[in-house]
Amino acid sequence: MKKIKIILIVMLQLTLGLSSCASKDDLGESELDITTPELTDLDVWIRDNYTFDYNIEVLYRWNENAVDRNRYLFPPTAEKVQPALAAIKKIWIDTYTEVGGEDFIKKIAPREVLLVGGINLNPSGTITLGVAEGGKRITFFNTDLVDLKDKASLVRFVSTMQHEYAHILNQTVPFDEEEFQAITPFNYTAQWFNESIEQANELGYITDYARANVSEDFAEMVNAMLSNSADEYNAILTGIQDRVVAREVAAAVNSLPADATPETIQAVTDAVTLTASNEAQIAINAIRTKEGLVAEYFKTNFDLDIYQLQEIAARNTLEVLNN
Amino acid sequence: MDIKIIENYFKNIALLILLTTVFTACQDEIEVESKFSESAAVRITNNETEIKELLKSSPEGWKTTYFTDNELLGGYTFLFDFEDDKNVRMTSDFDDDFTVATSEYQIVYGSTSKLSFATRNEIHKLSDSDNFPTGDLRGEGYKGDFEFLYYGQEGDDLIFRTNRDFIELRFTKATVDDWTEIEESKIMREKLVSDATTSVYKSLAISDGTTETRYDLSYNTATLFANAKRLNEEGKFSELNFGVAGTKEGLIADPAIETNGVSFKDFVFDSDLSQFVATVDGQTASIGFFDEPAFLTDDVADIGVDLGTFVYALSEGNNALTSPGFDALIDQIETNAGTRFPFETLALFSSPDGSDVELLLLMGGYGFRYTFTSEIKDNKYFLTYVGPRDGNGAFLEAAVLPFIEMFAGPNGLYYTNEGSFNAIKDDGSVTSYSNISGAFVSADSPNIRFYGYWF
Repeated sequence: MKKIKIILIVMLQLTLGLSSCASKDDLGESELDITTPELTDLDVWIRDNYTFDYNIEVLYRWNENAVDRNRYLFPPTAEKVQPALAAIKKIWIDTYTEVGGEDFIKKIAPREVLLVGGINLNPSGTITLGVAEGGKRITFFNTDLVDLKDKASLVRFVSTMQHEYAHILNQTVPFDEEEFQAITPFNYTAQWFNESIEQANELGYITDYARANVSEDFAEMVNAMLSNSADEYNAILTGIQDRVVAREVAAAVNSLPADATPETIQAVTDAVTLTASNEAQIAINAIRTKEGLVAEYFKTNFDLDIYQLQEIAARNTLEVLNN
Repeated sequence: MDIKIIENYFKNIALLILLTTVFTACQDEIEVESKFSESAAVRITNNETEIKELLKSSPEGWKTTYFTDNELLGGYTFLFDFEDDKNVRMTSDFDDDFTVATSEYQIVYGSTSKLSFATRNEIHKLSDSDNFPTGDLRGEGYKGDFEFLYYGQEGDDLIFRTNRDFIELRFTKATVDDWTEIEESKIMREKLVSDATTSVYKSLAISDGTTETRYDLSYNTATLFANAKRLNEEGKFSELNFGVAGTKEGLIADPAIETNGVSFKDFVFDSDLSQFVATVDGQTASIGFFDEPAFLTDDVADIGVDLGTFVYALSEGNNALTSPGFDALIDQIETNAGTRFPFETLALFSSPDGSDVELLLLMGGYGFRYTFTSEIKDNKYFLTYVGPRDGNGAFLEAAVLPFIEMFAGPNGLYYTNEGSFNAIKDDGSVTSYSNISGAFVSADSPNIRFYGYWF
């Protein structure tokens, strides 16, 4: 009982002590500069198109804390910012919005988009196209150099978002990594850049970078499906078969004696075409299986038809190119 | 005292301390003397305003010469005109684009107030990972920065330090002429670029009026960086390294060239001498093209002894040691000889006693031979022309005469041993051979140098 009394007295005293301080000073006006910074037309456009609607802040003025200081990077030219952002919005935001509804991107999105002017060339010679930091911020390099009227350039630029957004979706709802990894379990490598995209394709990976690990594999699959139209995507897969067959047939024919008859050449060609096709088909099947898991993931978890996303992304890409 | 009493005793003491703390915390008679009349927040804001006012105060803006790394690279001149609190106009002599472009700047509070060029303009060309002057700087560009920490004023100048490398930058007030003549400093620094008419010998010469010390200067036109080397009295090489920036009047060397207790930094171009000259305390430093090498080695003594036949072959690719002046000479004899005889190879067969030296020119698949005698004197190789060696030689003698005269120049040829032979093909690939290589320079026409191998 005595204890409680003491505690009560102490609390009372503390309350007195603190409240006596509070009433003493008037804090007055803020001494920090809290005026709204002067907004340029670009800033207003960004607020209208990204910040207010999607709660995404766009950083384009230089902020050394937002980038790796060990790299030699620079901010974009102000005039290049709006066209680049408009292209990203059209191909990424508008596509997901059309399929997933008005609120889809509002609910799941990076909170910051950072634009850097030049490419991020590493001293080793590799180029970092984009960076996603914990799903909070996505960094686009090359803002100054992207040619929005050149399909390859545009697709490469926006593919940063398609790839990184796949990671953000994965951070919201994880995919079954074990099941995905089991498709091509043996050729993931940290040295993915030592071999070509073509070599990666023949091992059952959609790109060279997909070999880095299973989550990059997943993101690269999403990227490949949304950065290409259905026809273009299918052409990548059939291209694997054509390439493998052409190479194997050429090798087999070259190893024949110089006086081989046309019949022999034809027979060898047919035989090798068959075995090479089967070999390539294994790789293509692996990619198709991954594609199936990606489609199922989008449907089950977000009620999104990725093939519809693919169709609309392709349409929106063309609109950007032709506008 | 039993345990209970001790416990209560401590409880009361604790309570007393607590209460004392609470009450004394509010005692308003305890005041800390403020060193500033305003709060930190207000001072930061004022500081930002003050720097912006300073930046805007120069009517024609500011000029600075920025050496991003004076151990590797030269410097560039930048002009900044801060139009208002947000926008800055800018140009530089970095490349041939002298247009004045507008971009945004900010004053940011970091470790101190920092001028940050927030959107892209000329200054950012130094910080492009993908635009590097040499392969060693891949990913680092020109190692430039575009955020400068403000360090105050010195007279009319503003002093900054770069954010990344802490290099001091001095902004001086620019003039109208600085803006209209920005390309002048680039033209100046390019006077150090070799062409077909310039001597292959670049030197730094330092003179106190009586004696002259000459350094052989190798200058990289991509990095704007110079290495000066001389053979000192002990027979060892001593070196000076510095970056170069152009100015309207000449050059700036950074770090300054320190020698004999004198420091040479600002050079003025002397058009009569075609050299950049700095004079400090009666001593003179000159940078430019000279007619003779800074020092002569005795490499030439090996010719005819250890070195037999010298070959220069177009098929072996090019090498920076073969000068545009030599290429021009080949063009000239090809023009003289006509299209049937395109130049292919020259071979010089030396002889131990110098009595019979043969020059063989292979042109259009034919061989043309000429005879000389040779002498080694004053560390130079002297050839005296005797005449054509055969009918072919006689046939083309008039056409190749400029070549023969070059070999037989009255002042001889300088020769240097250049180590093992490197053949550089058009695609940039280099093949190294174990053959010894060497280079000859005409002492009469020092714009002519050619590099080949010995067997």
